[in-house]
Amino acid sequence: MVDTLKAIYRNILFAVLIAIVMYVDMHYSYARQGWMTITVLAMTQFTVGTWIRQTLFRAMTLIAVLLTAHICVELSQLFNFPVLFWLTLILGLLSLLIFEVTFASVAMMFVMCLLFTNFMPWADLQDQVLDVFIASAIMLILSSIVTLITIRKAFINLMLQYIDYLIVLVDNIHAPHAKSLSTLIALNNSLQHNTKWVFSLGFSPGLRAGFRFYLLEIERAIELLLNLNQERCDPELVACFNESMFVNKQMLQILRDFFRGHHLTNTPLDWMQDIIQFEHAMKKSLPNVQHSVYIHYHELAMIRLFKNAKDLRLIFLQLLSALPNSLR
Amino acid sequence: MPKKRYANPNQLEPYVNYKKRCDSIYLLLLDCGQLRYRISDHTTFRFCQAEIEQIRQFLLSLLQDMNHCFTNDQMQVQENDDAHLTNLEGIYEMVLQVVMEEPLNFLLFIDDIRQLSKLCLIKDG
Repeated sequence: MVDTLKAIYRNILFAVLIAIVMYVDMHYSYARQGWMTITVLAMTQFTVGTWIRQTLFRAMTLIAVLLTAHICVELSQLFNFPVLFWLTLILGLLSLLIFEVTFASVAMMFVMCLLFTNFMPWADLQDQVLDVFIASAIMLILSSIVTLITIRKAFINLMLQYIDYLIVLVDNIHAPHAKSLSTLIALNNSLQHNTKWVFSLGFSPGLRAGFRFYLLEIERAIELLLNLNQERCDPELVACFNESMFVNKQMLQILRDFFRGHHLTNTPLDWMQDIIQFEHAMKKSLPNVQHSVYIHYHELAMIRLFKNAKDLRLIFLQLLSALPNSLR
Repeated sequence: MPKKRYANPNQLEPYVNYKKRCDSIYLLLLDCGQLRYRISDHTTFRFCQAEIEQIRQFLLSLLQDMNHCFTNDQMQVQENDDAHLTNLEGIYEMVLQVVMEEPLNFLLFIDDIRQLSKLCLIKDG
């Protein structure tokens, strides 16, 4: 229901945007051929994050396509050779069908430019290019208003997905057969695929540092959680480890509550007590391990478990302390 | 309604084993990558730069061999040549253990690499 309403809202916004640009196109454009509307149609596929780069890129592509179309039409008219026009039109239509979305949209622009230039040749190329530039500037301003809201929502959604995944991983440590390793790895890969926009070139410098900090720290937490192995460890250490995982889950729930917009209350002040106890238990089980030259693989497994649990806690503490109105 | 045909579980077994092994290798590689976070002073890597580079090459060739053997239905990979790993262990015992603040972190890395090379060399496909 919420998704449907969002889709309706997005479509209404899109229609209003087109109407504004069409009005400007009819009354204030240079060429009066609808080039502004074409530009807006080419640019309304908002990509989260890098809107300035994407808008400029699309404007440049449109101008390049326009020039190519003009050259094709001019050549076919100059040499009285209309086959060239029809050939390029068919090639454009074919590439529209064959290629993927990015190239298909370029092909679509090319076909439109070709048709407009051939059948409405009364305007100058200069006017058409000016119209494309004006429409691009309008889109840049409008999309800056729209996409800033989208970026915030997209990041919150991404964080909620990641936190849910981390909670699944923590639960999976207690019940290792709940989900297979392959499923967990596949989930991680699909989540990583969604974060591309944060790391892409041209993403807002003001938001970049904070977003990337959260994502990189969470990535490391996932790597650690996937590698926590309690086999070959003393029962006392395993109990301490389970206790630390319980606290980790509490921390993750606080993070999740924050990103869901809930008010944060009743948070304990000391998040390291269980890790200190874990360390004491470690020292009791493996005295003088720091100074010994040869370490048995059984001891190494316990050291690994402790180090991973400690690193994990430090990451979660960093994530919590980085929240605004933090819990310090 | 025609019955669905499933592959024979016995035929699938090598593929399932191979997938499990790939998952384990992936996780071990992730664990190896933890070294860069665990060692605060990165200049210590200069002591063993050549050995780590050799190990990288060795692991790459192992993984390529493993992939090649599986795709060609030959369930054998090259014999273990862990001279590079022995060199790294030697440097660890002679130099790194003394120089580094937290030598145990490096020991964990060596253990990961050893497990990784063992896992790549299993001959059950």
